[in-house]
Amino acid sequence: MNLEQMQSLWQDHSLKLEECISLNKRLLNEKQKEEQKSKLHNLVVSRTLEGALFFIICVALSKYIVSSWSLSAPVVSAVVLNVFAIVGLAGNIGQITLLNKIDFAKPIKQTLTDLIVVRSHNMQIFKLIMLSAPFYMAYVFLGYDIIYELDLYSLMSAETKIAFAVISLVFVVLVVVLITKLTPENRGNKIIDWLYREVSGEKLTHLLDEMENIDRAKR
Amino acid sequence: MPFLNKSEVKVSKRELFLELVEKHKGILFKVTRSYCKNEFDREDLTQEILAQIWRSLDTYNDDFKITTWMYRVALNVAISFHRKDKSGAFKHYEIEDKLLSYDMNEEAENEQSIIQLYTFINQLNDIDKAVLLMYLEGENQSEIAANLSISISNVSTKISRIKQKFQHSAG
Repeated sequence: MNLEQMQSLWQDHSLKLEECISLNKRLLNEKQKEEQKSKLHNLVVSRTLEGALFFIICVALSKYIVSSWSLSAPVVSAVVLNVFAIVGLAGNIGQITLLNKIDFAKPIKQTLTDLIVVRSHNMQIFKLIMLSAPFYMAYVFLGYDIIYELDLYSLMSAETKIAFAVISLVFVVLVVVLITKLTPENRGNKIIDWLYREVSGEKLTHLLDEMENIDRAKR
Repeated sequence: MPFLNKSEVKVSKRELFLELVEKHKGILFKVTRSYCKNEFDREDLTQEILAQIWRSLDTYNDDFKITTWMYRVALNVAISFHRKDKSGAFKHYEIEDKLLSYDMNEEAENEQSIIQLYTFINQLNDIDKAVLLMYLEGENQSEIAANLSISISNVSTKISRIKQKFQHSAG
């Protein structure tokens, strides 16, 4: 059988399917009532909850900054962490907007592009957390002030401050290297591929593979 | 639907949806059978496609044939559906209440060829499955290119590669 014979067999199959298939309308009606449970709707719910969490963090940090306003290490730490929380909140709002705009009637390549952006969310959050790693002392300074009402920075010796600054600089270099390497094009590298699978899951790696398959004939 | 109130629009959309699904249920069957190897995934994928058809119905415009539009929605959902194949785990179970029931007896004379055809389609990657399904439906290369948003030459290359794979698999 060649592809043309296959086409003619397919046409026969399509005609016969009209008689062979029956649609369970009762079940369809029941499922219709549950239509809200589509996979994308579940994602909108989880992004909304995540966005609410970022919003609460932003509000709490802003309240802390206003109430303790001074040029101290804990307040500067709160400002830095608030910037990250605002970026996270903006990312979630962007995701919810995009999820509501996704149209499965668009051409396949466009839908794939939109879905890749949606499914890359966990990777973006991971990158955001990684970017905050060089500022790890911000968590410590803020925590000490909230729990013990202590400005740890003012109690540190100059050597300790330099040591922590050096560690932060090392983190900056590592994070910059990791983030620049952490792109779909580098999935040939085992570590990057593993990170993509672990952080973003099989759904994203599958979509990226299919996007490569779309363009494959061009190469 | 400019002169209808909200509840009338909903009833009208519902009727249109049911009519559309009833008329083109074959598309649902062919896409789910091509993209899923077990009944449980097929049932889930059918539900997901129906949910997206309902959702996208508001934005449908008659620039496209309804079958082309439905194929696009179904293929987009199928490509994004991806699950690990668990056919082995489900082989002893059956779904009692299915959205689409299929009686193969009607096609007994072609049964083997059709099984062979679906087996071949199942082996392809998701994009090649989409290209082949549209090709088998009789869509021309420019229509397939528009549905995928790629060039006609890219479609042509994909079709010839699928032909080669088919000849190779047929021995």
